[in-house]
Amino acid sequence: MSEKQQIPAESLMAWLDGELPEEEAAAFEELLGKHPEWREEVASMSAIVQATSRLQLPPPPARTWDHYWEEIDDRISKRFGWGLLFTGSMILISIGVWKVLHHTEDMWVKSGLVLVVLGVIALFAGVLRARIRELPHDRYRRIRK
Amino acid sequence: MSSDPPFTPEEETRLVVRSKRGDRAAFGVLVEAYKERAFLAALALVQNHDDARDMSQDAFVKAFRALDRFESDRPFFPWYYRILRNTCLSYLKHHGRGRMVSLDQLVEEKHVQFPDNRGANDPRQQLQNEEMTAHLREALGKLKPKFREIIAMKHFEEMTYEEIADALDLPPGTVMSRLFHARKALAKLMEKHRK
Repeated sequence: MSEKQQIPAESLMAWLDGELPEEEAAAFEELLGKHPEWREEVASMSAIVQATSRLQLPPPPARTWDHYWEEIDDRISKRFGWGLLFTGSMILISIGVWKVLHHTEDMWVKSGLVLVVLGVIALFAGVLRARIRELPHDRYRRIRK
Repeated sequence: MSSDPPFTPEEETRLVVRSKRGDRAAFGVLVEAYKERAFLAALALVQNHDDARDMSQDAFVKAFRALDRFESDRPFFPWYYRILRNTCLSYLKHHGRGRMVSLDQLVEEKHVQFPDNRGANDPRQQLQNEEMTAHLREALGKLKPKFREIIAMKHFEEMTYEEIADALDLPPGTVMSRLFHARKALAKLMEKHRK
């Protein structure tokens, strides 16, 4: 006994959305003509496509665009600034550590520097730990930028 | 509306190349051209106006910083959409869905003006359309998120199959079959509402 042939879903979608090249659309329409049993499904899908096409997300209120680009520009500048600050701080801390270890005997300076370095390490480790803890549960980790 | 490219591909490539060199004015032109599409795409995901504005801006900032990894001759928006989607999903994961308004409450019917009054003369047809739209809005709110997303991309953001495939990192065939199953699920839900 032959199984009932299913309508080719991909072609049906492309045909309804007008994404089928002319020749393929003609071939698909010919195929539809040969399968009257598909008529109900085609009509139902066509009705859904038409009804969905009548819906839209409302245009955003005009105030949405007040300072829109300026705020983006500002955020780009800030991130750049933070980047510079972080890199500069790392360079200064490294030089400071080296100098203090090799040229200073003052215990207060040495202790202060050790605390700064430990603080940076602790903060970095905290961020890293949170990320590692979160990673196995992150459903979106495979999403590439 | 949204699927009409605001530039020729060559113009867009030139703007991207300039932006990659750090030209903020060029990037500003890209933002200006795509901001409405970006906002609506974010709105479909986070379903809140303020968050959608914020997420779309944040994604533009991330895009600017990641431009080095972007191939200049590719269309900008699908690539940007991936960043936006990631930004919105990560936001929802950390902040929950408390501020969300259901998508069916956000969408509205297009006010299409027919020059020759087609349709306006047939009140029965109009009533039928209104009824169907109401059922559809309700059904949309009940769809699985991945189905709702693809319907929003196709109909509210008016993306082509190629753009959707690029943005979701899926083969075009999968886009079509997901759309088929999404529409089938919509039809089923609407049928249930009608009964």
